[in-house]
Amino acid sequence: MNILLSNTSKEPLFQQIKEQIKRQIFQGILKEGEALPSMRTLATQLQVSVITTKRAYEDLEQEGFLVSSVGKGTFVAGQQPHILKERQIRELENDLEQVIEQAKRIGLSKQELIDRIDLFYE
Amino acid sequence: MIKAMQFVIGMHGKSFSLLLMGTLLTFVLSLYVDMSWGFVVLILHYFLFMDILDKQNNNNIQTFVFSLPITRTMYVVANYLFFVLYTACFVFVLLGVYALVKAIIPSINSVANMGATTIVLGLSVLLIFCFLFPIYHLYTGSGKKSRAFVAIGIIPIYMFSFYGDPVAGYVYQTFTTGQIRLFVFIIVSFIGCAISFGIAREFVEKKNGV
Amino acid sequence: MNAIEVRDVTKQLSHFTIQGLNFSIPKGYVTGFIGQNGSGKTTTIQLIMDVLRPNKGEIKLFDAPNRDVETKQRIGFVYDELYMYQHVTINQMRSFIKPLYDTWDDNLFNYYRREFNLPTRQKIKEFSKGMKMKTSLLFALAHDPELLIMDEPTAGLDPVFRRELIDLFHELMEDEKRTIFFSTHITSDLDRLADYIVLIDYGKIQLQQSMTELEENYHLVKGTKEQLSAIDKEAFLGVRVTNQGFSGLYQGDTQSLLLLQTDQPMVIEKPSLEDMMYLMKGKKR
Repeated sequence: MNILLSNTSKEPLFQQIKEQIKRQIFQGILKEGEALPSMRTLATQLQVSVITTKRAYEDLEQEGFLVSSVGKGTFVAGQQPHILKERQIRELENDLEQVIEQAKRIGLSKQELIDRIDLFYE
Repeated sequence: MIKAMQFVIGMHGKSFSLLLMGTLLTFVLSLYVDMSWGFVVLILHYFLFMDILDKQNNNNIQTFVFSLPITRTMYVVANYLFFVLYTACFVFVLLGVYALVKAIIPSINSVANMGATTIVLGLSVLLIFCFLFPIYHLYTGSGKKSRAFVAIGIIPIYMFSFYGDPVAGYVYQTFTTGQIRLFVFIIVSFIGCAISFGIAREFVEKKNGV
Repeated sequence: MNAIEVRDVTKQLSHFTIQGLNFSIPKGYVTGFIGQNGSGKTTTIQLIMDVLRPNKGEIKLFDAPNRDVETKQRIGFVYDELYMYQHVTINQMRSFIKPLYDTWDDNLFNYYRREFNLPTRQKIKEFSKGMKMKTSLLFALAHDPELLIMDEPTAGLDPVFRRELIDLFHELMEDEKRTIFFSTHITSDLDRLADYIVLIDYGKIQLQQSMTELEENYHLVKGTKEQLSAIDKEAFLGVRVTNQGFSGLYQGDTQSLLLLQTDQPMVIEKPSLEDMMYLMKGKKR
């Protein structure tokens, strides 16, 4: 597991950790059943506060990406392929929503936005 | 309790072993040159006690000591016990050295009532401490007030200067001759010490340690 | 369980009064104690350490009175000025501090002494300010304390050692029994270390929250004066207005701000602790 944190990002630190663990699960770098470092160890390694890693792990657990058992540690949860895909799509939709929000604000029409997507897709 | 004593001895031990050495030197010197060594010893102690207590307050050692795992009462108890021990050392060492010097050089000046003189002197030192310790703990920090108070305390010592003025000479003779009077002096000293302890404990428990 | 609990504490000093102080510090975490100079940080720490005794109220450490010797054994303390005997060497000092702690560990003592590069033969009074701070830390850490209480431990340290010290605190926190409570005016020390923040001002607790809550709920919003007039003032914990525009500490979801009809978008940033302290200063009391 590799996590790089930015101090200047406006994204909270726990969010950055969450996103990066998620991405590594999506990309298959972190596999089902793989053990993650304890939240205290991870906090020391990343030099962040314990509550930051705690929050990231708790959120990920709630979202079903991680499972933890008392005394054993935290592991990557088994991801059903179609559920995984569904999740990824939902994430993408969220991002899209933000893009559209921004497009509206700067007065871009729907067609103009689609044109730009086409352009980038090639 | 043992821990508290270890702590206090660690803190003061060095200063007081020096003090004892100074006392011995003065005494041995007095055997060769006729001088009022008792007076010198008292003045020496008075100023050194002042210095030690003043230093404690200056460096805010109080803050440090009160943060340590030792109760304030225990700290005061350890201080007083230490001084009683010091007084005992003072008496025995002085008498021991006197006996030794006499054995080696029998022709040297004799001191009249050496035993009683040493005891009275030792107890006087203890009383000086009992006078100074509560005053220093009455005021937080090294205040001008405590210094002023302490300066007044020098007067009884002048009165006690053994070979000095007639009043002191009288006081000295009164206590060092006659066993009952000596006994009374010892009792009075210990009562004074106990009262001083009670007052000091009260002050220390209530004071702000900064 | 709480490591520190301060309940309705009132303390009157000649120059300063603390009234009805209430807060608790959770066990197993790092809590940063911030506030301006003269806001009562040192006084609060001295109350917790039983150096000052409250006129009213009570202070508990690990559910026991803070006066108990057993309780104090579990604490390591560091003050911003070295309050110690200075006419001795480190080793001499160890000889009379060591007996007071049941959990004193000479290996740990030697380990930190080497880490901190402290000489054994020199008297403490000859040390530089940084070395004195390290000496305090050495004695605080040598009995492997469960609770570390520190008043401005990073003040007077060079930047490199300050970073090393923060790293050391991170390492200490790997042990889940450990709690750290420390005051600092260098708030960047806390950015990545602190789990909770307690902000004190004029002897009153202004804010007590976890860092993740702060990150999520507080935003630094900057914009023009016209934009400011369009926003509900209640949502701001503090605003500073200049000729160029305003910057404010905004509490809550920023989604509504983005939807505001304005010609140019407002800037929304993650506020630093310093920003928060600065902006909350303007808050109406």
